[in-house]
Amino acid sequence: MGIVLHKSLQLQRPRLVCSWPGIGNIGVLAVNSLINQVGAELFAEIEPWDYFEPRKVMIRNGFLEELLFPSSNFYHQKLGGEDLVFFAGDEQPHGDGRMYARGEVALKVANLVLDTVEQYGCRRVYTSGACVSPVHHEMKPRVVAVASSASLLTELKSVPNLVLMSEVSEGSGDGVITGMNGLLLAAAKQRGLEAACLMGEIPDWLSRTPFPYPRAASSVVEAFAHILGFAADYELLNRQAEEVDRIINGLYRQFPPDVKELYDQRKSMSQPGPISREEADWMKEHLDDFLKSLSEEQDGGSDDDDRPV
Amino acid sequence: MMTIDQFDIHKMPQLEDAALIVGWQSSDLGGVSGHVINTLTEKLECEPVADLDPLDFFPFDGADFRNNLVQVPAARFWASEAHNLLLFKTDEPAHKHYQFLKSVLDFASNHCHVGRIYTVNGLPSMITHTQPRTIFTVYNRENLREEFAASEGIENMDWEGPPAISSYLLWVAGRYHMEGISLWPEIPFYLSALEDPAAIHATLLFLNRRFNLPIELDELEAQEQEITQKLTLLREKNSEVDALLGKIAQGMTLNEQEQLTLTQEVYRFVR
Repeated sequence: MGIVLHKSLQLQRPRLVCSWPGIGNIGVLAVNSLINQVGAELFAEIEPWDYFEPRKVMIRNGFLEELLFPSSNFYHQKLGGEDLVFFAGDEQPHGDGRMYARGEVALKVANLVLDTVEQYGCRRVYTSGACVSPVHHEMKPRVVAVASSASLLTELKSVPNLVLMSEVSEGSGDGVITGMNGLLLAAAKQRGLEAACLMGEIPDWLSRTPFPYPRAASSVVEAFAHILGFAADYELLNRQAEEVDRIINGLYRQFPPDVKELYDQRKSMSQPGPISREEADWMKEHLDDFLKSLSEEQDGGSDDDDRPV
Repeated sequence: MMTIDQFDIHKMPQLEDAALIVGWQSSDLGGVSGHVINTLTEKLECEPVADLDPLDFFPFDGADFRNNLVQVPAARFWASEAHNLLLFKTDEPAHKHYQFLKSVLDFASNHCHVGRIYTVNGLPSMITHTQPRTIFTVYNRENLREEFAASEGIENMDWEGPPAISSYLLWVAGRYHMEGISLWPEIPFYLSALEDPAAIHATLLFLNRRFNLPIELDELEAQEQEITQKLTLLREKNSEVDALLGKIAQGMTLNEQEQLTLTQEVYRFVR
């Protein structure tokens, strides 16, 4: 039970970059893009059955060929003489049917990930996710950071288009990163490892829609390219962003006029700051109603015919 | 890891290279799984062997009730030494599925000398109640397909999609080098929420032949006739139901609304 090593590696104090799915799948899109761009190779995976339920079974002519679980894979690449480990989880481990991991199972997975990289002397851990912000979707998403230490925050401030959480949140950088992308930070800090989470901004109303947000993933990739020291290619993410933009713009055009007017004021803010509670509540209420009415229009009926076998 | 402490043991049976038959009480379409296991435990005069401690696997966050009766999660083994059978009647676990299945297989294999497992489940199908019930089968070893090829009334399953707990059990059994077969008798979809005596009959007939069991099936045949009579009456009274059943008999597929209408009308009338 634990880790399956596909390849034995000799690594020197690697940095770890990882992500699990979350809002807009920003972190996962970004980390998968990094893995592909640097040509990182799979070297280990977490045995899934103690932490995940199977997603799919393949039965052919009566024979149960395969049972597929969500994957939790480790990848490695050497970049500029430095060992980098990437971790990508298909799904957050959830023992109780929730979208976001929590509790004993989540902590076990976090510790498995850290145990795996600590044996190589891992020195720093990055996670990646989404930061729900009062921004306009036509603005370039910023990358919002929290870290395990003040010195790491100082270092991160030099990354272009990166801001600290205190610059976007209502208070002084207080908040919660839900699920594994947050839990891993806490587990790393508890072990004395440096850790930071880089979150791509997503407009508040889009955080309640089901589609991915590659625009923010692109910003996160840009930040990591700066931190890790390589020239990133954005072509694929840009193409994905164009597709999603078409859907977003379609929704935006249907906004009620008063909501649209208030929302468009965000475009004039060069650096959006904390949103007032009143404005946030008003927007949420009106946009939630709007999104609900759209989803009711689209839901013609139930499509529950995928009975498990 | 399984420990024997997870089980409340009543009596260890004397079995050798036995078969384990697993029936699920929850999500029991057509009542096939529960009815088959209940019939086997009763008619073969099986004795309770052990209860798996449900605390780790079930939520205990309230009380379920069916037909006004409060239910508690149960996971009990029964045995018939005379027929070299171990039976397991259980609710589907709510969490720690892998640990649950592993515990079941560890106990069956290491303490009851089980070599092969069978699971029983209902498969909703676009057939009418007057058509024969094919039993679709799933195996975790390819050689089993050959072994069962000559059996009457069975067909190999093809499926790609979400796994049922039985498929998960077969997969875990494969990891433990145990042979596993899932039996999926067809149920006319509109009888899924009721009992389908014909599907139960087909399954028990298969098990009778497989294990030389003496289970009498007359009672089930009478129940089959009763359902058929009721549905004949419903067709006479309700032209929409008659038309929908006619479409299925001609091999046509019903749309979602038609399926819902037929299911509701049949449920109200038969229940």
